[in-house]
Amino acid sequence: MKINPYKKYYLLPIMAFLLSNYTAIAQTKYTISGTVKDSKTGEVLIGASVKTDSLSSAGSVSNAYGFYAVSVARGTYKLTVNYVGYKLFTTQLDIQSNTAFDIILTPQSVTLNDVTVVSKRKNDNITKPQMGAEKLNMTEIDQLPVLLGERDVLKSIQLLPGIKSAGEGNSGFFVRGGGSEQNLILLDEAPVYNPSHLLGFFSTFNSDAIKDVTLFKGTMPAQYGGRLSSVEDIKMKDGNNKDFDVSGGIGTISSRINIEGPIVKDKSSFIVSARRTYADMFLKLSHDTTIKSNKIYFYDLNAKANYILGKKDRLYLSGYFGRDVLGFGQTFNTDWGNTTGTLRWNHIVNSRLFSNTSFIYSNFQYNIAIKSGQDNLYINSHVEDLNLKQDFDLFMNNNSKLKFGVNVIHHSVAPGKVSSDNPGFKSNYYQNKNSWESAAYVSHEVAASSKLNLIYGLRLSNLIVIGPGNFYQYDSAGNTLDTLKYNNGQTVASYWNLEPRASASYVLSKEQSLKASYTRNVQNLHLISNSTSGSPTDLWLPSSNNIKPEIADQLSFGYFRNLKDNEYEFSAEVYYKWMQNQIDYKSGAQLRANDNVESQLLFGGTGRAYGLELLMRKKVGKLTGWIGYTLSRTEKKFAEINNGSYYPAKQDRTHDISVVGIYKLNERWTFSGTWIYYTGSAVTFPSGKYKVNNQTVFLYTERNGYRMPAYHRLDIAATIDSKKNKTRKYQSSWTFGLYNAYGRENAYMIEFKDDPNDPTKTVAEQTTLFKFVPSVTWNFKF
Amino acid sequence: MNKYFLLISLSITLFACKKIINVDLNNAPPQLVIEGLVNDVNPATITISKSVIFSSSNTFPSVSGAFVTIKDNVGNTYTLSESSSVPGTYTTSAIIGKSGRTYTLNVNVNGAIYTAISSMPALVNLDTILPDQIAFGSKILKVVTPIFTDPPGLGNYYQLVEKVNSRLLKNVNAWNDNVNDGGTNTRRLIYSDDVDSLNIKKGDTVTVEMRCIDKNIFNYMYALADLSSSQTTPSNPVSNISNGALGYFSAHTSRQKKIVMP
Repeated sequence: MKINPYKKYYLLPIMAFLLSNYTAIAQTKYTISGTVKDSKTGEVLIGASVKTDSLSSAGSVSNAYGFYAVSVARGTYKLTVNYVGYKLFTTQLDIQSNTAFDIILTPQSVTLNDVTVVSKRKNDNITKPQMGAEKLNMTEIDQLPVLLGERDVLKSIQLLPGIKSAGEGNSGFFVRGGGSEQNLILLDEAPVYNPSHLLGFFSTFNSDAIKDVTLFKGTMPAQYGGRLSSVEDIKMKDGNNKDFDVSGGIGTISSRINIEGPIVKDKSSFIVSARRTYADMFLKLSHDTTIKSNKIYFYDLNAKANYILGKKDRLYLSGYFGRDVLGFGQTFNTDWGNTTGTLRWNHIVNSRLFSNTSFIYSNFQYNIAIKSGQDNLYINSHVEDLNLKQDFDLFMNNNSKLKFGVNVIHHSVAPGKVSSDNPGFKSNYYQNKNSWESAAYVSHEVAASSKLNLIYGLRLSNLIVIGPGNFYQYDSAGNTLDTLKYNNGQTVASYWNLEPRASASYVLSKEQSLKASYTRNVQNLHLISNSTSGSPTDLWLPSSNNIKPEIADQLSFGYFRNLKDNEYEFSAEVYYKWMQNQIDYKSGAQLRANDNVESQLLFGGTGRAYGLELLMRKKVGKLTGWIGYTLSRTEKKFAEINNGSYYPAKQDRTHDISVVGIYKLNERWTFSGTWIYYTGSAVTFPSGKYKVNNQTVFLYTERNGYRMPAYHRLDIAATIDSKKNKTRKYQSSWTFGLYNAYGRENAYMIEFKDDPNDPTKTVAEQTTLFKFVPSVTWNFKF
Repeated sequence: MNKYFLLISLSITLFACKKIINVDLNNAPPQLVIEGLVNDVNPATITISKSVIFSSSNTFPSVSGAFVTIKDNVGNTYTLSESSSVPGTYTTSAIIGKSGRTYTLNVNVNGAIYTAISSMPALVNLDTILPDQIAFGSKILKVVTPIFTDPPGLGNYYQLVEKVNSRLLKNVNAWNDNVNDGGTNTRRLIYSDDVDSLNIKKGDTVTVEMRCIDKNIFNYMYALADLSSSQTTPSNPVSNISNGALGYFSAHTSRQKKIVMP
């Protein structure tokens, strides 16, 4: 456990800078602080902009728990609060001492008249120093057309530049050349290990339960860590603490229900959202008993409660439970899913210092039962995290905000147990892997001048692999050279990493700015999967004596420009990313039921990804939406693959276009459409064939030397809301959708095989999954 | 197991459709393919052929006139002669393999030398094969379970070759003892009725040959089976033959059982 002595010196200039800012607030200034909330539901609002008319004031933005703080000298001020979708809030405050002041915002009912009233749009996107970040608006997500009408945050994210779908109808995605396992997906701070249902067709996130989604394209500030390419920070709703609300929907493949309300009015609330698919119900209608016994469904449950203990303390308890169940009669049965739980304690230490303590649990597991003769064979596996996190937000002054904290996680991976009812069967336990991952970070957001804004910080991360267990050393062919035995708690390997993060904006004018950022990210948990589509049985492994932490460095630059009084937002970003210690698989890697799984991997790969992302967005008016374009390249290099030269990664796609439009015709009708186009992914196709074992075997000459056909698709949807009636609470709406509206036959898979009609020939067969998929959903609220 | 998941993901989508397409593929120059078998029952056989381009028909040119020898680790060297009836096939009745011996293959094709080494593992007997069936949705597939007992201790590798009447099934079954080490086998030989365009019926004769193979051959066969699952990025299975030849050279035990399906 040695730290490079030079690394300490990085910290010095940062510390000096922090202190110099701190001394600036030594004059008599007072702080106005409190929580920003919704007037109807009491939900805390994240990212509301709070400003005073004080000359020195740059204003503040409410944090993840709605907490804000601004400092002013003694005097009377006008306080202005601005938040998208809410009426502008202004009030007069006379400040003689530190003042606690909660802000209640009223939602803007989305009617045409109101839309035209919101003429002054803010230019936060210009001034904010954070680069490569996207905040998704839940109302927007609700209106976009999706496969089978299942609204989905992870699929909507894929419509933004730099983020690519992992495949047809898939909720998995690639960010700036990273793999889908390099995305950190957090639900109320808990990492979700398998963010999809039904093998990727739906995400685990029920949008009814979600309040806010923020995505960082590898440019995350120092409080996030653990994955190379992105962070999706998803926050659940807190629940209405004023009134009871029941809402829900009945859709083509699933039904949803959402109940929320106060436990003690204005003090505590709860929310429970549940969803279940019912495609399997149709199987029950069959006369065939074997079909009747087939199972295919998923369900999930989100629940959250919070309690305001006093003016300074608030507790939150939230959880998620989801399961997928599939079965072919008694032949093959499997279920898998995530469980997460988060207990949080918000504490306002003083008017400037906000503290959050979280205890987080996350588990992903799968169970398989295979009928074999008279007996069943059982396979179980899980990955489990226990996580303790302490974060502080220090509002030093209006121009300077500090975040710092520590985090320690215990990961335990149980690769599996195989057992049987058969007495002749010898059960196998594969060795569990235990590790501690910890981190400390500091991040400083500062307005260095009226034009220059910065967020910079440093994260120190560590992974310790601990016993008990056997750890192996391998030769290049994967043969065991040495077996090292470790006792309980003994350190097998320890990795320290410093992860500097910095992002800056330079404001050229009210309407345009330049931004730059540099980040280093480290990943210590690796998904071991050689299947192209991903499967619930893929294995997570921590770094070890063989697997080194993956490292990515990303440099990006951007130009941001708003047009027509901030009605249109334009941005152009370029990035270059270097990746080290990448992992790939040997030919025919044996990844299951193998204690020597690390002998099947290729280490020391490098990767490079670079690209240009253009986005033109219209956020207000009858017509809203965006056009995004990405030009990019992602390549990998391994000594053992492609003769050691760079080859395109599977997520390499040269062009990627998405067009999104939402048109609000009148108070009742909304139409939406999305069109996407991308270059086919890089794939390996045969360049010849030969005969072995009396069958045709294909000959491969270069890795990923071919392309799938280009993919494009148009989806459309129309929503009609029930007539607005102020006297009754009941509301409902119908949404009609059509996925792949012009019936493009996109290739999901291309298979090479002997011609079934003529065994003397070989053919290429393309599988298309979805062509013209209609959907209808009925939503209600009362 | 991946096959199950693929099947399920495809069956989810009642909308899925398939069609034959034209793909513009590169034409790799012909490469040498050697398939060599030494077992403890029958004479050794080496088959030498060449690869062809994708658009050609499935006839693979045989390579005649090669000089083929097999040497064992107790000092014997045998020269194999080309069969006059089947060009490209080299045999000798002089070698019947023995467990524990290591065999070295040497092939000379127009001056280019290819070598490979394989050791014949200890014999594990195939006790019997039992009929069974599995239900896939509304479909019932008749299958067989080979019954054998794995010796305790990791490191036993098996290849099971299945024939229905006289037809060889395409499925490559390469098993190790990472699961159920030292236990009696319960794994069934699952085949794809689609790939083989065949369903085992009552009255069919099913023949199973169980081979005990060495680790390199297991890795090769496992990789070959993986290729046909179309779930991974494909690459050529690592051959134990030198000098870039495709194929493999395997010294293995061989035991065979037959059953008439009830």
